[in-house]
Amino acid sequence: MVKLYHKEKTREVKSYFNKRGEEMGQSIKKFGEFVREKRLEINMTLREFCRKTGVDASNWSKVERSIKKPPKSKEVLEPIADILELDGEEYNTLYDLATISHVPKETLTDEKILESLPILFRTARQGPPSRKDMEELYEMIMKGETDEDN
Amino acid sequence: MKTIRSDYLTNSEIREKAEEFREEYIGNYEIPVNILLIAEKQLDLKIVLEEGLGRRFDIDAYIAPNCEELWVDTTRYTKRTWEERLRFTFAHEIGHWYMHSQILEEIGWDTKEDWIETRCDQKNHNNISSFEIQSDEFAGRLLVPKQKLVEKIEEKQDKIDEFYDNASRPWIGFDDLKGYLASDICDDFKVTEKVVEKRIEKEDDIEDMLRQ
Repeated sequence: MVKLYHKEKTREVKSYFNKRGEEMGQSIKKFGEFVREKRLEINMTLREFCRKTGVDASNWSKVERSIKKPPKSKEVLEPIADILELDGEEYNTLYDLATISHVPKETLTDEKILESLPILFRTARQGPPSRKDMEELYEMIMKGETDEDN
Repeated sequence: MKTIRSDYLTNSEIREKAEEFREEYIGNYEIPVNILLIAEKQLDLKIVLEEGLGRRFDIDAYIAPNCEELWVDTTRYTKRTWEERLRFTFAHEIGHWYMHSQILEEIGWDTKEDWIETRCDQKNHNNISSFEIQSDEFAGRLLVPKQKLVEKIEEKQDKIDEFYDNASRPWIGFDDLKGYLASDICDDFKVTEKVVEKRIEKEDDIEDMLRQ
């Protein structure tokens, strides 16, 4: 029964946002984009935000980039709404977007990984990095950009 | 394998670039510069946190070649004790973003092998090292603007006089004064003592002002 209600509610909210998005000629904002926008509106860095809300910074950077599912529980969302000073419609938007957000099961493409590979970085050693280090760095970057829960 | 071209900039050219950046994205000389916020808000850089970049590779951060993401070691990003260093790291990466974006964008990797061979090449590595030095200069200038540094040193004139009065031992000299001053004013800029010391060294007229 609860599940059915939740499904119905999700459909309702999605339809509302789709309609509103169409009316405004734009697509629906994702949860992560919305939070990031509100956070920067009040001049708060990701670092400060994570410290104040107590969310895990590494996971949250993924939520904001929409590669990890947002939290749905009131216990997590309430302090976020508080810290972002959301009320009225924005408060509802936060909850609604958390409800409808989903992370598509995308395969991490080679192209995307190649775009993330660093060029300019220092190395602890004197000369260029070793081949082994570069192989390991590649693996780390590839693993880092996937959501283990997805 | 790709060739990473060299692009030599003099210190005064780098300083001009830092001032151009300040004018364009900050608009004032207030200190401490809120560099973490500027990265996200003004430059729209997405922060990507990756545990192990620091511990395993001693990489604090790097700017992705698309110049849209700033990858940072998670521990070094979150720990309070790393704050001053983190701020310098951000300013350094923004230096790459501002001065080297064309070079970054020119290079597109075709394969993982291409990336590894390019980055492991000695000549490319030498050119990359010179970009790192340029970004350090940019970061120092951005976080510790010259006129603010002069102001802060002038506020400490009594301490400087006192230092020379008490420096009866011949081996106490300019380097000690530099360290003494840096430890006193680095908090105003929210940078490490080392950064302030370097800034004093780099500004000839400040060094002259301090030598008695």
